[in-house]
Amino acid sequence: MTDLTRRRLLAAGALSLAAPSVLAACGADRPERPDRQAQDGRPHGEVSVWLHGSQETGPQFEKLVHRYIDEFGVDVKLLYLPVAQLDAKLLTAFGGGAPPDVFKIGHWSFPSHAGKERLAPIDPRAFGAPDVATVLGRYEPGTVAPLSYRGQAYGVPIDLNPAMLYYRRDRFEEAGLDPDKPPTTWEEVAGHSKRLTSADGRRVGLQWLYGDPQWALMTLTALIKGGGGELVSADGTRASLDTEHGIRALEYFAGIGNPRLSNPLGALGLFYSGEAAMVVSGAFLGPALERLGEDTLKPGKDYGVAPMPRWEGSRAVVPAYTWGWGVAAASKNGFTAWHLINYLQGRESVTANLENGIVIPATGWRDAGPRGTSELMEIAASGIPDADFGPAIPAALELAKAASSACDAVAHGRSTPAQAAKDFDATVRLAL
Amino acid sequence: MTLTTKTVEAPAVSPGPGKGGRGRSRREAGAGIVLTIPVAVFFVVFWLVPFCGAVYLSFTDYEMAGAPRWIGLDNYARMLQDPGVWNSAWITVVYTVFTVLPTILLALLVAVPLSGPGRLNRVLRSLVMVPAVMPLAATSMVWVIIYSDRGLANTLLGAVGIEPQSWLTGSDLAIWALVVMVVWKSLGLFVIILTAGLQALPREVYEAAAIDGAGPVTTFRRITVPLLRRTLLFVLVISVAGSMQAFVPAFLLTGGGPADATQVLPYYIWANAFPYEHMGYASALAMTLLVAMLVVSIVQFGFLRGGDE
Repeated sequence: MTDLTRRRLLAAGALSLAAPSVLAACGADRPERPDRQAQDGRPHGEVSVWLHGSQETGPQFEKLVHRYIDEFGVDVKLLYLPVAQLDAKLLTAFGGGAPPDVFKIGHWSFPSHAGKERLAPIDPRAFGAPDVATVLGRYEPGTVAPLSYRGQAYGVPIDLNPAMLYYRRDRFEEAGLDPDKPPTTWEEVAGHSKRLTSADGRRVGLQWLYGDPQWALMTLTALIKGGGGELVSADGTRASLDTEHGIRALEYFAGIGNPRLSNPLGALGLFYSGEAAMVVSGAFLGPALERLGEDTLKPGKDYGVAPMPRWEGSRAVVPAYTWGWGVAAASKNGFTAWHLINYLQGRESVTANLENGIVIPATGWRDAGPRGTSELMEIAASGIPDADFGPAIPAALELAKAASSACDAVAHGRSTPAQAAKDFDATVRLAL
Repeated sequence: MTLTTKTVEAPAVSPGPGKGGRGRSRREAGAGIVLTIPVAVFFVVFWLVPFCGAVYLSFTDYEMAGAPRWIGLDNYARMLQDPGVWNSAWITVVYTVFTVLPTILLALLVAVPLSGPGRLNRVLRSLVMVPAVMPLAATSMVWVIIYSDRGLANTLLGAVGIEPQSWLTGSDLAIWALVVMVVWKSLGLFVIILTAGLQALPREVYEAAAIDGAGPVTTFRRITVPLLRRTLLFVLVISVAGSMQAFVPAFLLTGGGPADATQVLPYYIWANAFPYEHMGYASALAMTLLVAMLVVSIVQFGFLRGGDE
């Protein structure tokens, strides 16, 4: 009996030792290369898609996906993730060797993933195009460049947002400012903000998007490059705020807005509530304001939109960002993944997204629906030629975080502009 | 009626130190080893291997792609030049000191009256444990609501005529907002541990002190605290270690902000590991934090063990 028990125990021990190997083997399933897929030129199989959810675009998107499933017999697995968690989850998926086939990520993430060979280049066959140039030619010039890395295109754009200035007409009227003449220069923005800020600081003029790395980088880009300076060198190997333009930008940033104001929706919520009279945002905000809460804001009546301000006598620099669809290099079904993306970027999708303020910058996008002719989209379209997406470098996330730290430190009074600039330089020197 | 008899065998007598005894000992030792294998495997796979991996990675440049590249001590040298490390280290020190000390002092003050007998004390001891058993993520969400502009914190301030505060968006207040939440969360567990320690203290010493005319304060200072030294040491070590590793409150309440004012070292390690993919650098930071925790723990043991004799 004792021997029998011991044998059983030995077997259990052996099983325990073998279990990790078995589990490890489960994750070691190497994917096939996309080139071996769909040799018949037809989509098939299963495609997993990760994206951040949207209450507005979700139903329309799912309808389109279901139609694709019916039409092509492809099994599409959707996974919605909170926008703040998408990057980290995707990264762990890449790290574990099990990424989704298709994902929607910010343009700032493309260089890092592409540099580590995680992304599949665009497969023109899935777009019914002879080459990649033909696929890219279907989009507004300049809008696919941020989704490329070292000359190779890895994604197509969705949700393009050139920055613009939103302002509350009611707040302008209260302050004795002409609501039909929004500020066009940063100097005017500062003057207007001073008049719009209450004595206790709880109602402000322009409110920055504090704590948001991407918007901090975009703001500094507008303030520095718009003033003739340089934040990041052309080759992307150096970045500095410890310059005349950099210090001036930080001083300007610190002199406007109130970083202590809070709202569950951040600066955009403060704009909706009227505590902030101006905010810099993207094309998506207008339609969102029309749906937000019970007291919806109407364009032209409650709020107005103006092009991104510039420094007096200087050229326009319109910071911009876009999300893009990408495909994992490790996808077993790359052809079908790109085929699905092409379907999701079709005319019907452009129209439906446009109504929700989501710009898919396919050529002629403004003709895709009635909202395309709105003042908001007119301003968005006029900003595209001057759009600046920032440096296409693998360390873009760190650069943006360093920019955010510098901006917030001076805004909160934790650092002088000079000290914040030095800290920024020390941080990015290690990152670039 | 049937009489049944049952023979009870005598218990086996342990054989002497002969050949059979050694064989049985070997069998028992073998069975013991086999029984420990699952735990040993778990320890090796989920603790030792990752730990050794992290130590190795700390000497490499590894960005979650390709093979790690050996760079020696470069990651450790980088820390000295990184403003983020110094900021995070300072915040971690402030956070640790101001979560640990108030929690232990408060826990001791609460535990002394609650350690007595009685149904009411039992109920109160259960109630004080409620925050401790709540999931930290859920607790954090509750405190986000409490700290919101029109939340409970500002409502209470308003009731006494104080202006509302920007608890989580003011860089001067945010760290203290986290401290208050963590003290509230940790208090219950430490109250229970200290209560158990207090209940185990010999009653005769208190009776003798009472006969000698010692008042409550003298009794607490000269008898309770010295006798409770080992329990206090345990509470101190686990609370310091917990605070130095704290990640969730900063992650969920403030995201390390505003202006990096709550970016404790574990959060900074996470940020380097995941958004930025600097696994080598993050591992070096983690190793440094581990060494710091070991040093602090050794100092605590040395400090509180002194006088045991």
